[in-house]
Amino acid sequence: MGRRVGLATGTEINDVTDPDVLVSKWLDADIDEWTRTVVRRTFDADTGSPYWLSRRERLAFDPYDITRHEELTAFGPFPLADLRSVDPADLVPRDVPRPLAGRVWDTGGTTGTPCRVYYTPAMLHHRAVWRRWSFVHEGFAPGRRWLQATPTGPHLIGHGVWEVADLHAGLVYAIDMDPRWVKRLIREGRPADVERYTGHLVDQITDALDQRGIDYLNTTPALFSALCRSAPERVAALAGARLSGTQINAAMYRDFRAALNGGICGISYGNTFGNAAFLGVPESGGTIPYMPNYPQVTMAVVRKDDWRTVVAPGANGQVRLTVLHDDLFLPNILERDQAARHLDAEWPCDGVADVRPLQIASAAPEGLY
Amino acid sequence: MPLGYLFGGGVGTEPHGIELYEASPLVRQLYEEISGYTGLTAEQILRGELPEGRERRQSAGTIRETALAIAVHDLLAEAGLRPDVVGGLSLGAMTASCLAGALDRKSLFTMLARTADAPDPRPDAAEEGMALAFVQAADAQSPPPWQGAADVHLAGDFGPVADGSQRILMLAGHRAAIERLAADSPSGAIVPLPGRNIAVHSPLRRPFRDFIAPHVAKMPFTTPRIPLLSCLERGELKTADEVRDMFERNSTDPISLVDIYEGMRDHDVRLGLVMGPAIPEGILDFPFPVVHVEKPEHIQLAVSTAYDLGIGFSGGDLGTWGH
Repeated sequence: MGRRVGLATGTEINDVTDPDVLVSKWLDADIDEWTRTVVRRTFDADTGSPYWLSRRERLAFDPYDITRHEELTAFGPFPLADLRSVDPADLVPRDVPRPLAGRVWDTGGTTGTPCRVYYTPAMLHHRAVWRRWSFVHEGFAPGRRWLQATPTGPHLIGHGVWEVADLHAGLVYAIDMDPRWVKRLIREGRPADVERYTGHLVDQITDALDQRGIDYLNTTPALFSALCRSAPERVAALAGARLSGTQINAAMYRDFRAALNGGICGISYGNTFGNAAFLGVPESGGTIPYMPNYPQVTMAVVRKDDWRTVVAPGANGQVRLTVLHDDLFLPNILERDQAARHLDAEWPCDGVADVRPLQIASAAPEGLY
Repeated sequence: MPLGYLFGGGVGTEPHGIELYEASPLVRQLYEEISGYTGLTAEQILRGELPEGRERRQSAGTIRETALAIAVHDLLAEAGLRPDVVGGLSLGAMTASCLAGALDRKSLFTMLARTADAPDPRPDAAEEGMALAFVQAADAQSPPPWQGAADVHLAGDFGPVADGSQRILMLAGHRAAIERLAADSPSGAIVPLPGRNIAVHSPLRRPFRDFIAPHVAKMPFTTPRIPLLSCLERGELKTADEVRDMFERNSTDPISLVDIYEGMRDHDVRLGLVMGPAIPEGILDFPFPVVHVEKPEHIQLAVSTAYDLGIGFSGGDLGTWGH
């Protein structure tokens, strides 16, 4: 890591408003210095995070002794269950004036109580700037008409409506999708109702595409697949689609590009905690790589049987996510995904490729027969 | 977007399918039907102590494994999923043939029940056994340690493991020869399989093949309704005679999971559902995403994954299950 540009605080970075300058500065940040800044802010005895200060007594080390990013493993895997029970405001340093105003976002929740986190305006801006960076990198032009057909409400992906409008000069139409309802229908064994609800959404999408001169569609891979099945001519007429929310493998990406018939196909990987940008795949194909929204978001691919140990480049393992916002510290989230460790000469940290749901060996190989 | 079902092989002694049986009226009904075909009670199929006698024990075990695999298939159908292509290993190949429409269920279970009457080996016959062989990727071109070994046969190929470091093969033969081979090989390279006392998929299984051949010759095979992949060579079984030929050779010829999943890749399979516990999760490398289905919660995971991958459902509700 080792690159230093003398960035003392995240606040200084966030004072920059030009998105391209911001990304450039973020990518130039020294990850160890950034780590010290966030950890010390989080654990400041007077202005730190109530949640983390309450955990400090149980730590076997002094967080102020953490000097390097790789030393964050000392905190252990982050207990996501805490995000289902604690007040999201308690994750935020008291340096942020109380009472907090703004949005609390959910992640998960399709099978139970969701995890909840509060996003400061700076965190929302960080996410939006990276989304815009991806739009530009992928070829989405500013000033176009978008249709966003994704979860909204408590789901951060729905904030994309504002991201496109505010940072990419887009005119955005929107359709709401409720993923929890879909999962509930599946859980209750009601496939016909799943198809009916999907059809209801696709009808709204096609109506908007027909009536509103939409250039770009922002939706989930599942809904886009359904649209490709039911209205391929409308997909082929799009100037582009941006897809995120669930897994997209190389075969799906190839299908989507073919369906778009020359239109742009942008994708990203992540969740409410943090995202990674797609840098493209060679024309010859191959696995899909993503690079995290550094330095606030970093990802490592670790051994499935030893989450502290990063695997060799190209090897497979479990995705370990670390969030280092000024106002949200979530070290060592062990994702339910596996991936290949990916390196990119242009990126200051590890990325992930060939992301798919985590598979843990359930028996010894002798169980094969 | 094609959906593939893979059925594993092997017959264990452990109880299987209890959770699905207790959770679903559909599964309970299925087991009653299988009881009628086989003469075994549902309890015997699910968790009864397997009977004495090598072939009787094997027969009851195959009924247990096949009942579970078909139960999973039926639950997935109830939940909206049906396969576009199927394939299986060994016993799983016969289950896959049935679910592809090449053979009715009654005929399959009747055949499995009949195998209980296959002759046991003579008391003075050499004990049989099986083993897994772990071949390092770097040694793939070297002669395998069992090459030329008397009474040890290559019985199967499971392909590369998930991290690509080695390939798993299966050996069958005389137990003493396998144990000698294991002792003479690097530690962990040859692992004898405990409790496996039948050298399946090897020439030693010829007496069983000869016993069951007249019955297989009379079985009412039909043309598969969906693509059915062979585990005995790379390719699709397209006619009733090809399915019958696979049944005839299944007990003595080596099997290959690679032939099945490569065949599924050729069919552009986008999600593979591994039915039952015979192929454990996380060990092997498949060329498409897979979900292993053996417990009630796995049904939801399979359906949810299919939805996320853009695989359409097969139709209307068949009732509710797994609330």
